Amino acid sequence: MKIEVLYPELACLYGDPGNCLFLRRSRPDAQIISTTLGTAPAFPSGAVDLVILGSMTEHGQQVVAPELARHATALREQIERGTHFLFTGNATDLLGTSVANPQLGYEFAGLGLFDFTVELGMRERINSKFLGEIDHEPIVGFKSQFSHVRVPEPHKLEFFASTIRGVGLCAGVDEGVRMNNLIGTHLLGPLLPLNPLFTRRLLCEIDGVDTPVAFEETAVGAFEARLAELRDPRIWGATAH
Amino acid sequence: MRVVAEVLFFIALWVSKAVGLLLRLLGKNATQLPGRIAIIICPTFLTRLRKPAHIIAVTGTNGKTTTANMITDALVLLRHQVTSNAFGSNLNHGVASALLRDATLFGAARRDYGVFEVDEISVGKVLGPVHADVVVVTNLFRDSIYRNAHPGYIAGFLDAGLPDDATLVLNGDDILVSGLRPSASKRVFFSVSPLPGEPPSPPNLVIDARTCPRCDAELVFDFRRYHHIGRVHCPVCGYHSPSADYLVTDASAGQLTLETYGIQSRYPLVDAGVTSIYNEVAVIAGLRELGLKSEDLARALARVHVTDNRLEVIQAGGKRIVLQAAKGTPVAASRVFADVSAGPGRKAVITFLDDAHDAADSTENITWLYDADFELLVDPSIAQVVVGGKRHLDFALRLDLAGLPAERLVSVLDPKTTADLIELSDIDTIYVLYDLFNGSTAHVIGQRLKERLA
Ligand SMILES: [Zn+2]
Repeated sequence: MKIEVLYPELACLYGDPGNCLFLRRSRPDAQIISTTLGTAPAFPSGAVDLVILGSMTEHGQQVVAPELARHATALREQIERGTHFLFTGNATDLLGTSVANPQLGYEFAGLGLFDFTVELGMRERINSKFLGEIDHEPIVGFKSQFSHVRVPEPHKLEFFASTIRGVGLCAGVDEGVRMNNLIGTHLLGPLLPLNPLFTRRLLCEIDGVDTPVAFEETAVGAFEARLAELRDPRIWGATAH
Repeated sequence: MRVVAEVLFFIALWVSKAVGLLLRLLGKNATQLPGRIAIIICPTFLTRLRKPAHIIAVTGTNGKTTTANMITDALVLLRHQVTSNAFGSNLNHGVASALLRDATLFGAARRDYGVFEVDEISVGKVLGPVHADVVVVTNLFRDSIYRNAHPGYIAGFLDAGLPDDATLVLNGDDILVSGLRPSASKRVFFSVSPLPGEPPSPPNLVIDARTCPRCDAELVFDFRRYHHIGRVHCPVCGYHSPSADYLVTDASAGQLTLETYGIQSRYPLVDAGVTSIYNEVAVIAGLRELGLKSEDLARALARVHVTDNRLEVIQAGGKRIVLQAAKGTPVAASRVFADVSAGPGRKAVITFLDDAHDAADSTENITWLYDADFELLVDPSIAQVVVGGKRHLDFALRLDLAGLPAERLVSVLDPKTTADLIELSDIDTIYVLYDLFNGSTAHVIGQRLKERLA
């Protein structure tokens, strides 16, 4: 399995190293490529199985967006071919049509793969926990972002997970976006170790091998403890986030 | 209008002073509420209140409390009268509470020096009305995710909030700090040269300034002390760490050697740990810029003691028990893990770093675990790690993934039982690492370990 991590020097906040670490331990023979800014990414060749982009600073977004735009055609091709992509945190912002930051006074174009826009509210940070479902299987996570997503009505978005508790892509809708095997979700960094069974299914989808992920028993224990808490309505009080 | 404002100011001053007095008579903490009341009654209270003649402020992610306390101690030892918010909040309410406590009934300052620790996000709010002569910025690191987002975000607050007319004393080894407020009339930089025996480039997960602030190219570290602290240059545009005005060239044998504007001077070394050396050089640079003489400072520093109230060492049965509070944030925890890993002898570690505040009515955000260097606890000198608390399985998984062999890891829900799970034979030191809010449980564990070692 070949995994490419894009721009780790900029896109590595909020526990992002956790995803790679969990993948490396779960597939010890996987080859992990780190691609820094200004160097040619490996995924356009079609030889990469999973491409990862993590959270970044607001400045980082402004640097990464044009860099990714240079590879937009290849990105679309690989999405159509079924290559897996995982964009976590505010990397997801770049998949929409635009990102605007009215407080800091700038706006730039996204990749335009999905029909949503993002406004960065530098004084309105969203901090939350999340409980959702994918194919009736629970998924859990945390969010912490300046990104406020606007989804037009009507829209043709395919979501990553249904929202059971917490805020989805924006209020009143489900979480994240999906296009073939591309996933964009504002759930933060260690999404994979936090959701070991989801990771197991994802890896099986990629290499066809259904085998336990690293330290699966402990990981599932931690996951179930969190799931039980997230299913308890008491933690979703008016002020709790 | 002006008269109304003036009247409001005096009402605010007298009411808040009375509240402060009452709180103190009741044996309560009067370090926040009086200032809050004063600012509610008179929003321009901080601007109107007269301040001490000399003011120094300290901000930054880590070390600001210790640095501000050392500055206060040094000034007091030199027989100056100091107003400080040492025992209160580091927001505008805390600073106002400290100032009004030491003000006369007519709003004049009774002390000649003001030393204020200021929260990074509140810098503009505090240093707008309180004109500091000198502002020290210690460092900027990844901190609490919900409040502080990322260090670049905090740098934005500092860049906007730091005053142009103060002397900024900036950490020259922190590229996020050394670039702050270039429009300030005077900026000086402190730095610590590579010291003998320092391990080069520790493998930290979090390095928050990896790209050039001018051209976004990947920076080259000429020397990296830990995380992003060190000396860098940009191979593309030539941007580099600033040259130091206060450079520590040696810190050994109880002495700190400093090169300042080409002149070498020596000061007593208050503590030999590298974090303490940064604090001390920040203190020296801050007070020198405030106008204090080198020899006076050296005299004062010889008598300054840093009491780390987050660290307690108990001797029992020929072994050491170290109770150490650690903030559940990536860099703070990693620094503690580095100290444990480098500590002498054979060690065992108990950790319960759950955030008791967050756990009370929520489910804790544990994303920081994957930014913290748990790999440091895999060191062969650490015979056993016992994790306890509500999130014990999250910690166990993180340690598994870090590569800690299963036979060295024990995980348990109830932190109080961790003391009984430690294998004491062949161990010299037992570290008990706990979240700041879990101090009472740490002492229960310490007590139990002591009983077992008796
Ligand atoms: Zn550059």
